[in-house]
Amino acid sequence: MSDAPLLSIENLSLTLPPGGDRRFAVEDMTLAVNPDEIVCLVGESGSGKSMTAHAVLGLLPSGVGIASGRIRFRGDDLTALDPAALRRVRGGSIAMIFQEPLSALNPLHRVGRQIAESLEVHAGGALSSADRRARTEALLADVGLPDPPVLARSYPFQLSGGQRQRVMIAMALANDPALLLADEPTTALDVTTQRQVLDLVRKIQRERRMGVLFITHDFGVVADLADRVVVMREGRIVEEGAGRTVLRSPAHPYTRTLIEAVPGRRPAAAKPAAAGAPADPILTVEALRKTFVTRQGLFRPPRRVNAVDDVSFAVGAGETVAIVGESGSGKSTLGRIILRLADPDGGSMRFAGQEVGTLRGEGLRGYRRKVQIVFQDPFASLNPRQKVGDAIARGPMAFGTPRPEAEATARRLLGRVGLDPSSAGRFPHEFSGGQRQRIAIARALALEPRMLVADEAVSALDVSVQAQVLALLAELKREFGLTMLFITHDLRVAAEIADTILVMRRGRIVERGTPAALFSAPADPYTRELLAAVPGRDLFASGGASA
Amino acid sequence: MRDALRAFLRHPSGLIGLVILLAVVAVAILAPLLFPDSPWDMAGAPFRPPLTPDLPLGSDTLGRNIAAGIAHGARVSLTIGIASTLAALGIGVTIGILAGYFGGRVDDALMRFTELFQTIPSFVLAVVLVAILTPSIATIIGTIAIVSWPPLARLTRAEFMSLKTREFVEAARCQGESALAIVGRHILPNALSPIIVTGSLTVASAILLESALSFLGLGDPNLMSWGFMVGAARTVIRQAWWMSVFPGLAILLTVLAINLLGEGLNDALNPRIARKRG
Amino acid sequence: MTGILAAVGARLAKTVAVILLIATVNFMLVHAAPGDPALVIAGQSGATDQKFLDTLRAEYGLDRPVAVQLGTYLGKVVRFDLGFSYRQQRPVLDLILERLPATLLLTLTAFSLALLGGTMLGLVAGTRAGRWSDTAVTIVSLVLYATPIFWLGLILVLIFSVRLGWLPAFGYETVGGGMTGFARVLDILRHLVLPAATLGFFYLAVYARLMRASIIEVSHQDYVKTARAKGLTETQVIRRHMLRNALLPVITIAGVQAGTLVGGSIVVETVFAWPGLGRLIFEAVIQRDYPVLLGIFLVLSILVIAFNILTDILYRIVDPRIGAVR
Repeated sequence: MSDAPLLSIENLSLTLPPGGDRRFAVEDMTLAVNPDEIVCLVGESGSGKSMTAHAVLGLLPSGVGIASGRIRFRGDDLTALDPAALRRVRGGSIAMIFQEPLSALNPLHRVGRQIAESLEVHAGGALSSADRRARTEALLADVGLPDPPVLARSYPFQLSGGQRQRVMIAMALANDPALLLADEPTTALDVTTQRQVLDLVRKIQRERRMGVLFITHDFGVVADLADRVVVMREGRIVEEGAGRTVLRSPAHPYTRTLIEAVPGRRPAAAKPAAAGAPADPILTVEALRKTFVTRQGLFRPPRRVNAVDDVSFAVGAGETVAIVGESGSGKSTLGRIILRLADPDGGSMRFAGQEVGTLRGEGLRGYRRKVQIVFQDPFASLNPRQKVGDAIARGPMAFGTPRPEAEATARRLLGRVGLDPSSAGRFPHEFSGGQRQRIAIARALALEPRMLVADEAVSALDVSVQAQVLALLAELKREFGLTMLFITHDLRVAAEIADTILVMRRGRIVERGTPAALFSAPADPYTRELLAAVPGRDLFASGGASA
Repeated sequence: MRDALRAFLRHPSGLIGLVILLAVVAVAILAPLLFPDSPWDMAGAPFRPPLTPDLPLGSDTLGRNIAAGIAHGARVSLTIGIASTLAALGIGVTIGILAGYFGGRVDDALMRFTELFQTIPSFVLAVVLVAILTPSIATIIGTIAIVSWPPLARLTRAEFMSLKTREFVEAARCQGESALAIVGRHILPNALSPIIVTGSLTVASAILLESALSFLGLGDPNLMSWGFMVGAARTVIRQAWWMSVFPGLAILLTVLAINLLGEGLNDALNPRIARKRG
Repeated sequence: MTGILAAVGARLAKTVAVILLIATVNFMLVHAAPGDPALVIAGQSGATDQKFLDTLRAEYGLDRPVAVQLGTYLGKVVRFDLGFSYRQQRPVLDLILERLPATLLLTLTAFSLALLGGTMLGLVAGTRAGRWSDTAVTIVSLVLYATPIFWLGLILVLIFSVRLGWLPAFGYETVGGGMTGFARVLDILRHLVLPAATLGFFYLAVYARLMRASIIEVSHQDYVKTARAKGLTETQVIRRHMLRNALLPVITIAGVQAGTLVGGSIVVETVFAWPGLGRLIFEAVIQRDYPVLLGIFLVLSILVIAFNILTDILYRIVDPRIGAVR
C-alpha cells in the first residue's frame, strides 16, 4: 500500500432536503481509498453509502448538498473544482458504474458510440475516429465481450443484463481511470451473472492497479472482493477495517447483526429428509406445462417461450419445498399456476387428493382458501387505499365470516406477526417494508390455509429484516402446521429454510435434493454453477465468523 | 385526504384557478338576478363602446347588452362543459373498464373501436353530427360526449391493465373476493385520481369545442353563448372590437381556470411524480 | 428489408380497413339523420326536386336492404365517387380536390411551426426548470392552451392587419393582383402567416408543455447521470442524451392529436376566408349540403391518417430501436 491515499474523504456531511426523516444523508464521514485497493462500502438501504459515491463526482441529486468536509483526489479538493476541471476528472481519472445497466445506457445510441464518446470527450482531437473505434473494440474485448465489432453496433436493448454491465465497465475504463466508483453494480443481476461481473471487476482492478470504491449491501460480495471494509448505518460509519478482520471478528454489534443475518450461515437443522417422494404428499404436480406465445406482428412467426416445461414434483404435508432459479427460469410462473393465478396448458395438479388444475367458480374459490400467497414486493402487495385490518378481514368475510369476528381475527393475527393489534386501523403507507410483509403474512393466514406459497417473499427486504421475516415464517409454519412452497432466486435463503430444494432452469427442474446433499454433492452442472456463483461462499461455508 | 388538500394548497396556480372558476360559477348562478332581462333583448343603442352607462362592456350590432350576454353565456358554457364531460366519462370509463379488466378479445375489439374514433377528426365529426341532427343543447352535449370519450377510455383501460396485475389485486383474488368487489374495492379507487384529473381537463376542452361550434353557427339557437357572440361580431371587428374581445376573454379565463385547477388536482392527487424526485 | 416491406404492407392494409370503416360511419350518419335518406343526400335545397330524389334513390339503392345500401355506398367510395352536390351542381370530389391544396398548405405549415417552435420552447423551459425563462414559457403556453382558436385569429387580425396594417386579414392571395411566379408565392406566404400562426399557436403550446415535461422526466434518467459521469458538458448532455429521448413522447402525442389539428383548420379557414376544405365545410353547413359535408369528413379523416403515418415515420427516424433486428 502506498503512503498517499488516492481518494480521501474528510469529515464529509451531506444535507438532505428539509422535511425528511433526518437532516443529513451522510454525517462527518471520513474514508480513504488507496491505489490498487478495493474498499467496500457496506450498508442497508438509506445508510447514505450511495450518496457518498455520488458526492465524489459532484453527481448529487438536487436538494442534497455538501454541508461540510472535503473530498480530496490525489491531494486536490474535488468540491472546490470549477465545472470544467471537474468534468476532466469525471470519466477521466475517476469513472463510475451504476446499479441498473439498462437504464444507465442511453437506449437510443449504439453502445460503441457511447464508449467512444467517453474517449472523444477526454482525448479531444488527439484521437481520430478510426482510433476511437479501435480503442472501443479493444475495450469491449478487455471486458470479455464476444465479437466486439458487432457488439459495438448493438443497441442496449439487444444485450443481456450482464453484457450491458460489461459495456458500462468498458466505458468506465475508456480513459484508464485511477479510481473506479461502483454503485451496487451487481445487485440487479442474476447470481451467475453477478459472479462473472465480480470476477471481472477483481481482474481489471488487479491488472490496472486501480483503486475501487465498491458500494454494496451484500456481505457475501464483501467477502469476495474487499481489501478493506467500511460499514455505514444511517449516514455514519460504524466500523472500518481490513476485509477478513471485519468479516471474521466484527467489533461493532451492528456489523455483527448484519453478518449474522446473511442467509445460509445458519445451516438448516439437519432433518432425516427423504430424498425420494414424500410419503404423504399434499400437492402432486405432474407433467405441468405453460407456454407463452408473443405475437410479433402480422407477418412474423409468434415467439414461444416454454415457461414451465414438463414439471413434476410432490410436496409432503408439513414440508417446506424451495424452488430456486434465476430470472426467466419459470419459477414464478410455476408458483402462479399452483395458485391458479395463471392457467396451465397441460399436466395435472392434485391438492389433498383433488385435481385442482381445472377447477372453476366455487370449486376454485374453495381451493384458493386452502392455498395462500405472500408476494415479493411489500409495497405493491397491499392496497394503498385500504386499511390493513380490513385487508386481512376481507378474506374470511368473503367466505361468510361475520365482520366483527373477522376483524377480531385480523387484530389477533396482527399481534401474532409482531405488530400492535391496534394498527388495524392504519393504512399501508404508515408501515415499513418489513412490517408490511408481516401484514401480508397475517392476511395470508387469515383464511387458515393448509399451504403457503412465498414468492420471493424476502427478496425486497434489507438483510437484517430478511432474517427476522424468515424466522417468523419458520415459527408460523410450525405453529399452524403449514406446508410451504418457497420460491426464491437465492440458494442461501433456500438452504436456510427448506427441507427440499428444486433447482429450475428454463422451465425445467434440473435437480432436486435436501440442502445438505445439494450443497455437498451437486449433480447437475447448472447447480454447480449456481453454487459456485454464491457470493462469499468460502467464508460462510466455513462458518468462519465468531459471533 | 388531508395530505392531498395540503398538496393542493401548496400550488398557488391551482388556487388561482379555483378562485377564477368560482367567480365564473357565481356569475352563472346569479345571471338571472344581475341581468333579469333576456340577453336577446335590446338594451340600448347599437355599437355603444364599453363603459357606456348601463352597458359596462358596450352593446352589440343590435343594441344587446354584452355584459348580460356574457353572464348568461356562462350558464351555457358550464352546463354544456360539465354535462358533456359526465356523459363522456360514462362512455369512456365503461369501455375502459371492460377493455382493461377483461383483456384479450374484448380489449382488442374495444380498442380498435376507440382507435377509429381517435382517427376521425373529432371537430369535423362534431360539425357533421350537429349539422345533421340539428343544433340543440341536447344534440350538442351528446355530440361533444361522442367525440370526447376516447382519451378517457384509453386512460381507464391503461390504469386497469396495470392495476389488475398488481400484487394486491392478485392477493384479493386469492382471498376469494368476487370480481365486482375486486373492481370496486381494489382497482377503481386506485384508478380514480387520474380519471378525475383528466375529466376536469375534458370539461375545459368541451367548453372550447362548444364555443367553436357556436362560433360556426351550430350552437343552440335559443341560448346566448360566448362562441355565438364572437361569431356574430367578427364581421364588424374593424368598427367594434369589444363585441368579440370580451366574450372571447370569458372563454379564455374559464378554460384557463379549469386547466389550472386540473393541474393543481393532478399534483395533489397523484403525488407519485413529486415524490419520485424527492 | 423484408421486415420493412412487411411493416409497410401491414400498415397499408390497416389504412385501407380504417378508411372503409370511416366510410361506414359516414353511411351511418346519413341514416342517423331524421327523415328520408334521399332528402339527406340531396341536401335541403335539392329536396324539392322530385326527379332528382328518384335518381338518388335508384343510384344508392335506397329501397333495398341496408346491407346492400352499405355495399353500394362503399363501392362508390372505393371508386372515388363521393356523390354530387345539388347545391353547387358539381361532383363532390371535384369540389374537394379544388380546395385540398390550400388546406394542406395551412395544416402542414402550422404543424411544422408548432412542432419545431413547441419543442424548442419546451426544451428551453425544461432545461431551466424553475427559472424565469421556464416560468415565462409555462405561462404563455398555459394561456395559448386556453385560447379559443377563432378568437386568437380575430385578435391577430385586429393587431397585425387593422392596427399595424402589416399583413392581409383574409384570403389566399391578393384578388386581381395578377401576380405570377415568385411574386405570387410571396403574396400567398404573406396571406399564410396569420392563419398558420393562429392554427399553430395552440399546438405550439401543447407541444411546449409536453416537451417541457418530457425533458424534466428524461433529466432524471440514469443515462443522463452516466453522461455527466463521463465528463460531458451540460450542452453535450442535453444535445446528445436528452433531446432525442425527450422528443419521442411528443411525437407520439402529435400523431394522436393530428385529428384535432385538421379539425382546427375548419375554424381558422372560416375566420380568414382561407379557400380550403374548412371554408367549404362551413358553406356546406349553412346550406345543409350533406354530400359535401360527408365527403369532406371522409377526406379529412384520410388526411388525419396521413398525418399519423407522417408522425410514425418521424418516430422511426428518432428511435432506432424500431425495426432494428434483435
